[in-house]
Amino acid sequence: MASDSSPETGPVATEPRRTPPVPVKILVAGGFGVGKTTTVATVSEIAPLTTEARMTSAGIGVDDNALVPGKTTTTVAMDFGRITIDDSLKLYIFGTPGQDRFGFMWNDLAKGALGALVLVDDRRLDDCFAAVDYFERMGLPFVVGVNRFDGGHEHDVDTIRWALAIDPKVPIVEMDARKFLSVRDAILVMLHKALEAAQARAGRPDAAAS
Amino acid sequence: MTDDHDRDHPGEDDVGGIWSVRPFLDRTARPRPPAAPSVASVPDEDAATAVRPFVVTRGRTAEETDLAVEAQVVTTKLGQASADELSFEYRDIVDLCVEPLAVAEVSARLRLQLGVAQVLLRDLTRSGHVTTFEPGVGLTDDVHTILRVIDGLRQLS
Ligand SMILES: Nc1nc2c(ncn2[C@@H]2O[C@H](COP(=O)(O)OP(=O)(O)O)[C@@H](O)[C@H]2O)c(=O)[nH]1
Ligand SMILES: [Mg+2]
Repeated sequence: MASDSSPETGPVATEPRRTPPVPVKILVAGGFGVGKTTTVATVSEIAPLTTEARMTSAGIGVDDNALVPGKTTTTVAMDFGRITIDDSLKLYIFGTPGQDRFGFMWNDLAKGALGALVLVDDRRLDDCFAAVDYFERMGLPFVVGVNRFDGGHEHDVDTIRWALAIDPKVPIVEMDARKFLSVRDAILVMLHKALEAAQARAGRPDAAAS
Repeated sequence: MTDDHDRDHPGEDDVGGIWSVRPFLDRTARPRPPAAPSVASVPDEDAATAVRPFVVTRGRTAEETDLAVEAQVVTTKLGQASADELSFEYRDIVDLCVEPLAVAEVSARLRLQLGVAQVLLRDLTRSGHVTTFEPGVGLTDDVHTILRVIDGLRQLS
């Protein structure tokens, strides 16, 4: 599609040299140390990059713009990587800090995201509450990925679903963030949820019933 | 390892390293924006409508929202031709984006805070030195695009 060999048919100087690929993104969320960076590194075709965002945060539930006392500015780092799907499509994977006070950054990140993978450490289930809560509220398709750390087989998937009060429609997958196919398959499960959601919104009869 | 910014979680997300952000680059103290190009006219919307999945921002800033982290930045011919006239923060961007890069990649590779990179990129967009391609609003509803991502991922192993 992208014709990068544009002969000098009077192109205007401010035109880009070629049309870039369309970017789509997904998010990887979860508590500290749960494997977000590892997940991004495992699937990314480039060494993961880190970008820092400075943000003003306030208590949860407070209005974006409200100038409340106690509002603080922090710098958070997020890791990301990318996968080139083809010449005209790139997938970005953003690993986002999971603490609830980073909610404002999540809003920017979540806008336009196809879906999210919420990582859960079997031994510290409550660390992912904020992320699960957030994506539920946003209506963003997500899956829960249970990262089994050494000695972590404490709960089976049903118990985890119960403990997190996760809707039966939300898939829970067991995964190892260090293994490519494991991460890829978790992302594929998430993308199928995204596909279902898109089909439902498009009013496809075959997707409406559920 | 930090500069003037308070950092609550030193050591988190340490793959690739955390570096200090250039202290002189802040929203409040940024370099003089590049002058608008002397090139006669900025093209109108026809090119933009041909590129369906994008909102193309070229020489205008209809919206003042932050650029999406995944939005693609490409240096224009003007940007390449006049890079030497730009102050170096801008020149770095123009040099880097000869191949399309995401806003987040510009931020990471030039070690600019995301917000700073977003502001500088808006300046360069306005002056015609780069073009930014923002993902269209309907992209998450685009079944065809999602299927392409799924098929592409399935082929990787
Ligand atoms: N056993 C095991 N260890 C993991 C897994 N994922 C990550 N780790 C390790 O857990 C530590 C924290 O992972 P990291 O990706 O930095 O977590 P983050 O804070 O969420 O980015 C690292 O030492 C990883 O090697 C996993 O799936 N299984
Ligand atoms: Mg990390």
